[in-house]
Amino acid sequence: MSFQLNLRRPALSRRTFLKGLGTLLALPMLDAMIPTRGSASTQPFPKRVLFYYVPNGFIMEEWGALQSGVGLSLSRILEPLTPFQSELLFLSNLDNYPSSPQGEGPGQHARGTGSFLTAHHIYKTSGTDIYNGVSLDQLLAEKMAGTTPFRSLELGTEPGYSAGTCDSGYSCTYSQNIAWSGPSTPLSKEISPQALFNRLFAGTNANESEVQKQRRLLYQQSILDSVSADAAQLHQHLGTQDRQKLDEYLTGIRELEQRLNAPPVSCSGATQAPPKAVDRQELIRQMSDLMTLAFQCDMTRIITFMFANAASHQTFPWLGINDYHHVISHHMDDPDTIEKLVQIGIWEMSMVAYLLQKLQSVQEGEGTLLDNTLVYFSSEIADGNAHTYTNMPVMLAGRMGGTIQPGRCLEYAAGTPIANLLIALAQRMELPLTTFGDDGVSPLDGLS
Amino acid sequence: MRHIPSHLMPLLPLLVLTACHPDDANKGCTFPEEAATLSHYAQRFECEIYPLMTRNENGCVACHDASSERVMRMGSDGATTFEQLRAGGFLNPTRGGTVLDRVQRSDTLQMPLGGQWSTEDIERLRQFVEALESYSCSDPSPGRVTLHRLNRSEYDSTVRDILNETGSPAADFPVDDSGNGFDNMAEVLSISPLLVEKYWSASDAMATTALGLWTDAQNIRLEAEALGSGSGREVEDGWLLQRDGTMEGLIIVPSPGEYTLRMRAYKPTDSVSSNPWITVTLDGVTVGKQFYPDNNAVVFEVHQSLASGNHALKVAVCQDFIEGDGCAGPLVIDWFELYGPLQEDPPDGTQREEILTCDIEADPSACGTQILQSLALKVWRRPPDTDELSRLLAFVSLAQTQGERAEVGIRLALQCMLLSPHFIFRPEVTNPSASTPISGYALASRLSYFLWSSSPDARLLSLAETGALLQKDTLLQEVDRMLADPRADALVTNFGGQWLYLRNLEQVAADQTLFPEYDDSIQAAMEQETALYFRAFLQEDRSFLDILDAPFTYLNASLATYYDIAPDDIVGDNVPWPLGAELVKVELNADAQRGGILTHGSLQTVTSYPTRTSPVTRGKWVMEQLLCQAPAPPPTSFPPPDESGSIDTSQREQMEAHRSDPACAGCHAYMDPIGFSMENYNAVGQWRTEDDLGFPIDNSGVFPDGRIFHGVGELSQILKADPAVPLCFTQQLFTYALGRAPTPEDSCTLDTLNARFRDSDYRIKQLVKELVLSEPFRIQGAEK
Repeated sequence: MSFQLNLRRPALSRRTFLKGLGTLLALPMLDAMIPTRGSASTQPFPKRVLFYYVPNGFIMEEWGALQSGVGLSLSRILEPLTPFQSELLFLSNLDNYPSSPQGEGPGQHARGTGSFLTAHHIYKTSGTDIYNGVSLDQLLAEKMAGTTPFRSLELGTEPGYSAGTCDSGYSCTYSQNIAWSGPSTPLSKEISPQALFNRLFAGTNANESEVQKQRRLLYQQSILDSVSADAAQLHQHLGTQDRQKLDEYLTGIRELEQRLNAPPVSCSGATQAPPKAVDRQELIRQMSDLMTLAFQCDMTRIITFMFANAASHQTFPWLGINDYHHVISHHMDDPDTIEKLVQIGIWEMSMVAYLLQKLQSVQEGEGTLLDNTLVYFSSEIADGNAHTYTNMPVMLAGRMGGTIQPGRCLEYAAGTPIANLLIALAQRMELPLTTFGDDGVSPLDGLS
Repeated sequence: MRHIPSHLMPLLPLLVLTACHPDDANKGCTFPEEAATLSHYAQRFECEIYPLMTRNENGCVACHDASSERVMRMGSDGATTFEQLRAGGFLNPTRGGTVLDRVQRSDTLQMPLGGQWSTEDIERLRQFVEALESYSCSDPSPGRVTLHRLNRSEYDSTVRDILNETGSPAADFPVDDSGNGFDNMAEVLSISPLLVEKYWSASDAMATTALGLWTDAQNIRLEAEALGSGSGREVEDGWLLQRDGTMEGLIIVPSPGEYTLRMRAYKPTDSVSSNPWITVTLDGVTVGKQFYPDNNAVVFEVHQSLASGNHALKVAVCQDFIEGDGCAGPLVIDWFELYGPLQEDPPDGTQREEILTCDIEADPSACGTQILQSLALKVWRRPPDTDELSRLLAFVSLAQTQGERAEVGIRLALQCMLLSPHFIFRPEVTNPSASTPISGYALASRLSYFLWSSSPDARLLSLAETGALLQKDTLLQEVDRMLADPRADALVTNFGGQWLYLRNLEQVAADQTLFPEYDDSIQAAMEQETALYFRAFLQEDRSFLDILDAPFTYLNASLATYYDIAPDDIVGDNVPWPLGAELVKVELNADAQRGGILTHGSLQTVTSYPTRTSPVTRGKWVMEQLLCQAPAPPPTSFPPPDESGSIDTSQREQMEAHRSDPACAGCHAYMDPIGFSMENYNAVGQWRTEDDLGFPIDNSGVFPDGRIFHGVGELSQILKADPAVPLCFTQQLFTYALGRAPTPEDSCTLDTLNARFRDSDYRIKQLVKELVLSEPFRIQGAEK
């Protein structure tokens, strides 16, 4: 293991422990609305994947785990995950080589985020001609079309900047999106828990009669047909680049059509949107609740979640840290700054622990939702100061329907592409990939 | 920074050039002699110029190359090839920050490897870039704007202006990506499925509201022939009543509330008798009487509060009329409708009366055509063609075949229009393979989205229809009219808000323990101060350059206190003191600590960290936004200067030390002194004379050429004299106006615009007019 357990570190302070516990015990109102799933179903429970992105990397000396006879010992940052250690799989020596500069200078946050799920070296541009690969979640989502009301959900917490630039000559698009349905089509994310709830569960009137429903569907279809005809007519008069824009629109219209025609999912308990979050901690918990609910109700099986945008400028007043995350991530080996980053990491992991606890609290047959889910966790860089892209912080949580065997640490040969891990995950979702991105050549072994 | 006077520019392109210079380092290199092709210049660059840039280990490329580890890239792309340099504007003969500008200043710059050029080489470079510029100007291309989607602010302003929808539906849309500093770049604005989903919900809600329909109301249609009993008889499509005839039936109300009861009736076409009166009673109470004046069908409508359950409905012809009074049958009752339950008032923001300009229920086809024609003109910013109109009209008959009122069809058609690509985008239908002047309607849209971020109003559309808008005089009159309209504030909020970074102010999370006086109301006041200040330069007869040092600003009581401005800082005594909650204009004394855009708290705050100032960020803002000389990002192998620790006096020394590193100096030699001169303003824009540790602020800065300046006042004067400032503003406004980045082909247009801007003594209004008259604004270029 490249991770070195720091033996001089103090044990987890009682205060931190209580803080973490408090987080885990906070039960928002959404708990009251666990839907009932047809228990008579003999179908195996579906496998789900959640790609979980956290920005600005970690203090890697404090990130990692060691495996021993009795289980895992987790580093300081990971301590909030202790209750779930048997569900965690740590993979070391995985590189995000496609994000390397390759002669294009700085911009590691944008590149690492761009290639996070595409394993593709992004095209350097500040505006026009954005170009990336298709992200793995979207390849999986394509397969899901028609299976669940939402092929995939793209979620986050930060809107992004509306003036100025993001990272070193790279379009802000690269810093704000990890899901790409086409090389030039990033999928913007939903960042409001209220709006997400309404997308998932509001809309159709429960008292709607059959006649009304048929009429509504007819009207909806007529509108979609009419705008498609508008688009077809317009298409003939446009240049190539214009058509690309119009095609994005038409893709959206086709997906909307599928959505509107999908049979309604009855998730009886989900009746009320969460209240407006008072701070980021609550916002992230609400998002975690809704992600759990979306899986539980089988609204979708594929989710991408950006904890914050690349090189995020969040501050952490509840930790007494009022400087921008990205700014302090350039810690320059200053011990005080490093300690702040460790504290931020611990807090981030307590948020992950909250999600895992939610997933584990949902029973599915003999097991739990977490047993049927895979949470893929990583960041756009490893070390925030040096902007490294080798030996990335990669953690898997959950068992993905028994196809993953967690509770272990796996060390791969130096320079193993992360893309190989993505191939291995795709195969477990019945997507027969053999290569992926710039450097994925074979499925990573040893996961099960 | 030196500037080449424009009279040195050759008036004619150098048509014939000999092959390579005899003592060319790159012997044997040839290029086509024909100077009228771009390939001539590309080759000539390879033969004549590139060898100078790479002539030895001290050439430009030694440092300014993307592939070099010593990355001091010229632009963000690390440009050294002909195409890259040209695209980045580095081969312009007159501007600052170009190759020519750099080598001319090399003696004053820190060119550590001794990259000085000889006079002859500089002259050769000058001839080259001037010839290239002449070539470019001889064949200007108007450029092409990609199919432009409405961004969030445009969407909101548009629906506000066409449907009176003030609820900002786009606030819920994903953030628009920006490029070139603005979020209205056509090429960058993409559409995700999530956005289409939001378009759907917004169009649904807006169409329902606009027509004054209630979302939970149901419409129950009862055909008269199915309902009828009493006297009279069933005819093909209704129940026929003679004089004194009555029709009775039961209606079932599902839930209590306010309902609209409608009845459609008409006289049979062969009827020649006089006109009937009819009386409608519900549960024995007369709810309405209606006279049928002619043979047209009439829809009778009454609002009634109803309990749930059965209600007796009765219709009588000529009831209570005496013989010979002129009331006569027959009359055909077509149908009844019960619509509800309704709330007491229609939803807010209803546009029923504006939209339903005729009786759609009585004559769905003709009235529907009339309504949809004018609605489509408004929503699509041009009249619909025949196909489009018939597709829209089909919704009216669709609703009717479903037993719903015709107005429901209008609602569906409106939703369809709002979801259509004709609304979501601003399509300009031209021939993609040839440069084409855009239509009057397209020009109306370009104008209105530039000046108002919204759709053209009725006047613009009618000028587009007659073609008058395509005439120069009309166009200029319209610009004046539009700038005088309150909607022109969009130029302040959207253009100004991004140019001056005001939009990011909301995201500033200043440390509350360090800066307890900074709160939401101060933030809002600072934002408004800068917006009002910029508006003064847009709307009033002022030179744009004075924006750097004009001795006035806008304050309210709390901002004046926050800035520590007292009555004796203010000129004249016509300002009521103490100030109120509203911001008012105040003239400042020459020795006040404020005056000029760089002294605004908004700008100082938005370029700081939550706990301290960042001289680098401030310097970068000035270079990027005022000079359009965006510093290259720091090289990979050199971390940015340490601003992460606590601020102290040694920070300045540290930063000065890192500026001695050649890899950093190229940019920091400018950024840092600019930022240092602003140090009298703390991280939330308050004046200070001591730093966090109590040391006096050193607000001096030194440029590499030895110019020393102190404080924002002297910095502003240096900037005011720099020709790069107005050129940069021209470039920014051009980018925003067109929704695309300038290309090398626009270089001439920009120089011309800038020259006219200067001739007008830098009136922004005049620049707006010149922009609107320019070819790129009025002509859509061919696709490359």
